[in-house]
Amino acid sequence: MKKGDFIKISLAFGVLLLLFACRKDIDFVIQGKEKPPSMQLESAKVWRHQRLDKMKPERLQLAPKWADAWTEQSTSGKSILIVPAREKRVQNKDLKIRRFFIFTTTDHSVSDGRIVEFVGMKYDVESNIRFLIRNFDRNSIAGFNGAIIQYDVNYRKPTNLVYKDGVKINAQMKIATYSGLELKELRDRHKAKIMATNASSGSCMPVYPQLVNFPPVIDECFYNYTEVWIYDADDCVIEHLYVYASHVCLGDDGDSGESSSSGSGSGSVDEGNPDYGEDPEPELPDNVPLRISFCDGLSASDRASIDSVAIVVSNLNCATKLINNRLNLELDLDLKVCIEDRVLQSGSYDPSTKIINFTTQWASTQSDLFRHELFHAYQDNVAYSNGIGGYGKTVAKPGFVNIEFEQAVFKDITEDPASPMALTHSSNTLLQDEYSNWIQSLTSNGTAYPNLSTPQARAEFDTNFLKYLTEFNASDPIYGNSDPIYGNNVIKADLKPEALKRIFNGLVKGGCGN
Amino acid sequence: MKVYTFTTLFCILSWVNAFGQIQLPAGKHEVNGNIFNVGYTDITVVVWNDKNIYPIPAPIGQFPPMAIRRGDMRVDTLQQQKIIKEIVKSRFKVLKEGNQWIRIKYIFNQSGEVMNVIFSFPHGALLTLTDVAEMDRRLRQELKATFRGVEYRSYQAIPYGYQYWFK
Repeated sequence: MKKGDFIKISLAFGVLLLLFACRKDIDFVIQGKEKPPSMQLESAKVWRHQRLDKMKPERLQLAPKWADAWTEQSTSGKSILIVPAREKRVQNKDLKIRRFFIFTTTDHSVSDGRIVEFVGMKYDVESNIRFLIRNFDRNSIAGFNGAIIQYDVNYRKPTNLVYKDGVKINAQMKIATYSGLELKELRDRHKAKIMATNASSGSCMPVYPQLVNFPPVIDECFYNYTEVWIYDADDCVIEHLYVYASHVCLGDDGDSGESSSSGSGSGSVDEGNPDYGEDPEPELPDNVPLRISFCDGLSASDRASIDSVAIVVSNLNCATKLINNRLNLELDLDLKVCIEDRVLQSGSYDPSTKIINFTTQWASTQSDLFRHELFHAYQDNVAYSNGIGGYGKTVAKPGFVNIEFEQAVFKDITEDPASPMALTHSSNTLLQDEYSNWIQSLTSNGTAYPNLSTPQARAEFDTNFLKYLTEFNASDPIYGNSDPIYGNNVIKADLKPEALKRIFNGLVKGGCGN
Repeated sequence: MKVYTFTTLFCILSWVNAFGQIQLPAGKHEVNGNIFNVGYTDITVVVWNDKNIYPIPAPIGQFPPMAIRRGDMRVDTLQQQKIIKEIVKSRFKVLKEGNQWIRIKYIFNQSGEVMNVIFSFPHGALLTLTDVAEMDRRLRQELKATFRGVEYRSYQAIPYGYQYWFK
């Protein structure tokens, strides 16, 4: 090679290297973006850090890309600092989503900060992103079809504005991630609920939810989707849509993707890059009493004592509080309690009548027994789409022991994590100890609840659950195979512990009692 | 050179002897006339006396009994701690610094006497079979559960678990 050629190649390489090193600055110059002063950036970092929920694992928090931040002036006159965040891949070509942290600033200090998602429905969000950002808090945005959803910095407490042809319309939108199984149930449950709501207004027509652009829904896969309710002037629901965004199934690659245009990703564990949509952790209102009704013939004092036990149980810990809230607030269930000597167990839950029955007044005052039966009510009404009435004690109707072991594991996780008891009667000492290790590991030695919010964690949980269930069935004198009454139990191998997975789906321990 | 080599070897052996746990082989071992079983899980060493009764007796009666209410069963945890501390006295500081623990699972009979006891602790904890045998002997002799109410009368075997952190 000639000396001149070598110099030319070296120069070209040097120029390319320089361009690559300065690509962000060049991009900023071309786009006319203004870099924020470092003091303002630091102020935003501190502001966010002060407001982060310290109980929420950092890997589940959306991570800002501070190096890519720029400043804008919104059309409403606010100075705003825009910090891009990591994105997920959207697999539906009709749906575009981008998300940012938007901080409102005054001089160098920050007065407010939000996570803002821009959702385009057949609208090119990417090409219009700066236009959308400048108008993120306006009621009309020329030509925009979609929604702007704002959250606090912990990805909670969402508020949303939905637009059609640039104008805000009477509609709601949220983004969520659910398993295929949960999605099917949710759709069915909403179907009944929307019909009821509309019917109560007297003039609304029933509306059926529609899945839009979904691939075939598989129970075990996790779907990130946008749910839209559109109302008419009388607040009747006229359209209810589930618009597919993306999905991930067990065994898929957790492609985290950093492309700023479309982003990429999945529902798998991906630090600092949670799925679009509100953090699934439930907000737990304090001391919501369990709403129950009573069978005829119960005295006022019986009713009062059952009421007080119900309050104790629903506030035992964050998990029982969650159960209570879901049964009461989400499902609007009318749970009936009776004292009736018609069955010989001290307490029972009857899925066909939704009645918790105690055999004696004394039994009805036992909080442990009440908690046990309440968990079965949760399994029946929330966790299993067809209830638990079909799970019996024979080869023809297996599954009873699954339901009881799930209850026992719930008790160990919430009440006895340091010394779990479900396999106490096992003669297999090593397996019994392994079970204790499992519960302690799930609960970080009793300091936290299990986090079963990822497909991998759920799959592992299912496998271990089944392993210990087999030993439970072999050894438990009350619910296992050896019991003369409940004996001949048959495990239903494909019945997975859905109740536990729904409860411990990011639920934080602490602040709710024990 | 030889002197250095021997000195180094001596130091290493002394250290291992002083601080390293001699791994218990899995299987049955006799200590003071009692047979102890040693087994391993991924995380823990599990030790139990052949005196343990298996299968564990089922509750009395035909139907599932009421659970013993929280607070109706009492086990003297201070007495347990005292026994454990006395047995590991010389190594307590090292166990504490190593953030070590021992999990003890009991089955009491209706009279409150220890029927079964199972010990487990992490691999590498500075506990010997002799320690555990002594704990087993003393806990069986000195520890008693007390019960209130009526529910416990339906059970012939009443479980209780305790995890002690050396601190």
